[in-house]
Amino acid sequence: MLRSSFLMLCFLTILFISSTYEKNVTSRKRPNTSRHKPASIKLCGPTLVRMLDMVCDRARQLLMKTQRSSSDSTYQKRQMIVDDDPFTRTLSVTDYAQFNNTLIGDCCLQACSLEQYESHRIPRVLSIQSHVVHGFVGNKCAAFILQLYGFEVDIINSVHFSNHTGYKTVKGSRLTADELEAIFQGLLINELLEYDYILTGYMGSGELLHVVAKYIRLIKSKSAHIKYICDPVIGDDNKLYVDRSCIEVYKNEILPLADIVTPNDFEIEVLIGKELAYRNDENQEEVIWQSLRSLHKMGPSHIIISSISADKIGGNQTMLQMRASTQLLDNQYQTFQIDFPHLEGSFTGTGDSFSALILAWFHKENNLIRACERSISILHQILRKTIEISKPINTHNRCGRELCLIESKAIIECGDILFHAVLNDKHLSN
Amino acid sequence: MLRSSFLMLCFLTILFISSTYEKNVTSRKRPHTSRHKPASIKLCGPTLVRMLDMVCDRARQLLMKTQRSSSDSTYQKRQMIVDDDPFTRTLSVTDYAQFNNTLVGDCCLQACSLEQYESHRIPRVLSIQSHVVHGFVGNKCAAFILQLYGFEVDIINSVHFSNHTGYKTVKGSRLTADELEAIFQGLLINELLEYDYILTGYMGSGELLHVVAKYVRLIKSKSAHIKYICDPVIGDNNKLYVDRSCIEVYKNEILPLADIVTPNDFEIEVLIGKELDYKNDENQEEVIWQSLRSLHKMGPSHIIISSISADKTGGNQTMLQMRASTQFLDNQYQTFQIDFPHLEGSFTGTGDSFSALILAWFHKENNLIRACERSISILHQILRKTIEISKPINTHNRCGHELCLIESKAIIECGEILFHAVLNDKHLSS
Repeated sequence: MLRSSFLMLCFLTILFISSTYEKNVTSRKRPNTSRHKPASIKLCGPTLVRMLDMVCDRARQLLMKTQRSSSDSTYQKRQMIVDDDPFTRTLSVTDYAQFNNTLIGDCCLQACSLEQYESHRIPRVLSIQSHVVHGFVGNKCAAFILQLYGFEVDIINSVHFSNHTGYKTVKGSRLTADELEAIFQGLLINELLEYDYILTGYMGSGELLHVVAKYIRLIKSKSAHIKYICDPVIGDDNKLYVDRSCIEVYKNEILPLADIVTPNDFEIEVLIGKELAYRNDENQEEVIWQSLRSLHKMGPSHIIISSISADKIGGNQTMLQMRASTQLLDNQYQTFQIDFPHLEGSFTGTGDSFSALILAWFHKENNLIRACERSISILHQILRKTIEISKPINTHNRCGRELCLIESKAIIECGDILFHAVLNDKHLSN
Repeated sequence: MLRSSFLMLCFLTILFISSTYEKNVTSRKRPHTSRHKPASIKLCGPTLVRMLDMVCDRARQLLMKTQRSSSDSTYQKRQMIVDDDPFTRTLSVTDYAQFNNTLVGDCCLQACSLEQYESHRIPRVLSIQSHVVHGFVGNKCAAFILQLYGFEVDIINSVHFSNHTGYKTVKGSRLTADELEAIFQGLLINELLEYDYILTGYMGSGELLHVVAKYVRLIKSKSAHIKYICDPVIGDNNKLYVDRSCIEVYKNEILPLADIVTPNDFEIEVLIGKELDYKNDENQEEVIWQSLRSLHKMGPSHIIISSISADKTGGNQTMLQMRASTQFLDNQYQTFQIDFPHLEGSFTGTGDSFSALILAWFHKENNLIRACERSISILHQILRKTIEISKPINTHNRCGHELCLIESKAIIECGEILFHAVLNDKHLSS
């Protein structure tokens, strides 16, 4: 009677495993053969873990009724089982007390709760930007900053250059669309395409951007919580940095997927297809907010223009202004601005550092306003640190200073807020 | 009289500039034309700075005699001058008091002492290793660890793979010898090839290694203090990881340049061309030390075998042992060993993390013994952390745990020593 109860439980467990994973016939068969000798059942996923929870409870009760010892010393507490079957996963025992080496027939159940790992898992970012051997732009900025904040960063390098393009000489190679496709395929096949955040910056061609859009769409389809932070690098001061082919891909494929975008004012103009006419003083504010609303319509819920020279909008020449907007509902936006002082000198990598900071602080604060206050404050301190260090500028570098990011480690970790946001009226109707 | 004194000083300065930089005739000419209108002299190097120190002192004395004001407000205190002439460098004024906008004829001297910047300059590393999008091997380990310790790391990626080669699928591309040559040329032309340390690891082909050797030779020729840490990745457990072509290049070109090498016992055998015969118990110790001495003869002053399974040398199976050796003179060596516990499980990226830790701590401690104690202790704690976190191992990964480096940030920064070295007799004759 008892033996048949045990066998029933085994069958139940095996049935659970089979129904959850229908694809592989072999795995259905294997637990059957394991009835004849002590073996460990390999567990699959949180749902099955919870079912086994219940199974084991019942098994434990039955065991106690039959007065069999539930502590079998032949099985080690933290046994790892590695298996080649792609449809099962191996879990290490972390919450051992639940299962306590429960013997069910000839099966020894070992399981754990995935919850504990999942809740403490560090957040994962996929960052697709340029790589320079020397200096700090693109992924050199993003990787350093995000890793400092405790993010696990998967890094796809869209180029591999000796240094940034502001130097007299640049040597290296670009990732082709085929190579990018291959990388994504490798990650996909190995089931590594699981991220909490995606971050993109400079992308050399529309072709590359198109592959990026395809896989972001795929990654985002797996989970609703994934946020895509996009720096739509197109150009500045009426000059294009990228191939024209990028623009259409940004407008039609990328922006609909983006959650946060960080364009400059030139890039907004290009993306919404309309010039921001600052010349007419009367409606400058309205022009900016209209452009933000037009950009919201193209996809992103959050938009940050990290710095508009304040004199463009009638303010102090020594001040800069950040403008940002969060779309709450169809007609409702929270807009705000942050004023901060202009610093003398030119610097490279500020935009890339800024978007990495925004990602990190948006994750921590879950609030665009706080994220912007933190990021612009930290960036300002990094610039001041860089000026203070006064490293001689390389004579072949025509773009000013490389950021002293390594020396700014404490500044980045500290996250001091220097500048505060001024909120605008919440409900701006269309 | 005074005017001709001023003109003499100008001539003197110009002569100094010319003699220091003979190559460019144009630069010799340019200061002459600057005599006719206020201009800033651009300064070159610490030696010239010191000379200008003396020139300005004299100029200041002359100025005071003629009662001309030495504080001219038209020149800003921290003026940066950017110049395309590769033979002059621009320095920002940090120790302004020395020069105080001294006018010498029509020249306004602005200079600073480079010493202050140089002594506080963070150390620079060139790291040439593999890059994986996901996970931690090669440059992913080295960059994170070294940047955490405050090093400026120039990163050349020898491959760009989706993940390490222990996964079922690996997609990506390798750097060709031509591409590596181009990268080095870019850095050379931009005068960026100035490092304190060089670090290399896995190199796919002898061809690539040959280009590396060529430029390591060039970089090291510029300065005696540069240290090259080489992990001669060839294989393990009698299996080759790399193309055979690498072995000769390691022996003939790389080892003579290396200061610290971190081979495993298989790699030592391959490099010295002799098997380590552990079977004969009587002279096991002697066999190991002989092999270290043979390897010293090939170039490196410091050798670390990071872990020999202690049971190979007749010890406890649960312990591992590090063996290391520093060569002082032709016949004098300091050898030592560190015993540390073996941890259950397999891990990837340990060797790459170890060589980065060795570099960092050798820099801080300037002592191989302390560097090894720190590094092996930190690595052990990283492994324990990785085990503790119990992240489910990806089912496509056949090589065990990816290191939880991000989660080990505090461990890395802390640098706690757990295991101490046992020193052997200092004078081991050949």
